[in-house]
Amino acid sequence: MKIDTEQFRVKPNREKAEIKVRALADRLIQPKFSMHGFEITILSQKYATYGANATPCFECTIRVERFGVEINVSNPFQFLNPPILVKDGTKSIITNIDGTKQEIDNFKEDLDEAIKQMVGEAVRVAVSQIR
Amino acid sequence: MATLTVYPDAGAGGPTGDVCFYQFYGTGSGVAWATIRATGADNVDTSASTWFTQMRPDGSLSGKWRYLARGGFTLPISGMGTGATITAGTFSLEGNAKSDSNSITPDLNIYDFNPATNYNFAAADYGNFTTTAYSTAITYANFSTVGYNDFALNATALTDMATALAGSGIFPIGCANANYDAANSAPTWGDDLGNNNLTGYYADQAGTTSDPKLVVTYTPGVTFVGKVMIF
Repeated sequence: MKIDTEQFRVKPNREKAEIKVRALADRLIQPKFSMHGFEITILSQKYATYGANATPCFECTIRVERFGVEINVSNPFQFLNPPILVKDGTKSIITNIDGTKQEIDNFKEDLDEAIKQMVGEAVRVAVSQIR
Repeated sequence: MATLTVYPDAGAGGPTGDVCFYQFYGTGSGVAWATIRATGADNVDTSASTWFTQMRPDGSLSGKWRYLARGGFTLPISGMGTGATITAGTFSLEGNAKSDSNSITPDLNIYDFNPATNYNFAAADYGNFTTTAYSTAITYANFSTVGYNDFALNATALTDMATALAGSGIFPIGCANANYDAANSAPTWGDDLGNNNLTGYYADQAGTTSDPKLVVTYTPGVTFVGKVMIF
């Protein structure tokens, strides 16, 4: 079921974050994928809340390998206000505030790909922080 | 240990957000570099894709400038919980265009930013950027227009993040040009056709995998649960 509807867009941000996190946590994605040169396996994923405000959070535990060697990353991986839209491969032309034209990506809703990309990005950055 | 990734909220509804702040003067009304760096003709651009920095000269007035832009972001870090120990942080901005019409090679860095509110920013927050750098500048040549540009947070930024965590739970970061704006050094003036900018994605309506993001590695604080034994 599509999340990014007109009804969704007018909801308060906190409610939107809650809807997104629950939808992502319920996905049964292919748990093993490659991203940025890493082999990433999602071992578990869940809806969680954090802090005094019970902020909704997508949380997963992952295993990361590179060239067959496991990399020690800091589990769990947590995502607040996570994305659900990914690039669809097409472009649009927009007019900037100064009147100049610019080409930008178009996005589509794809929860499985959003999980892979946000986890893959987090791994890429987290590994760079270790080095 | 744990790894937290946070994204700003879209729009003006909070509790966090992002926006491009810019100074704008019409053709023939440009001002000196020191003036355009200060508050005055303040504006905000809430587009999903716009400038991280922009410097445009006034072609009809030698040495004067019409545009100067900066980006402001607030990140929800309260999820780490009070008492967490922050080990490392990286703030990332995805680029999609850049321009160097006047051959001034504008770079980009992130800075301490103190907006009056954490969302629905006022245009006057343009004046609430400091020149306290949170990372090392990314050069014009190295600024990616097809992926994320990573700013590894320095010790000052990590300290300020810890302070924010103990307070509001929201960590503000600004981005601005380093070699002219933060340095308060006027670029070489050129004609009015000159666009000198680094452009990319701000937070979108529902959240995209190109939105600005902060990745933090941390150790959660210890939670003590009190117990009373009654005999």
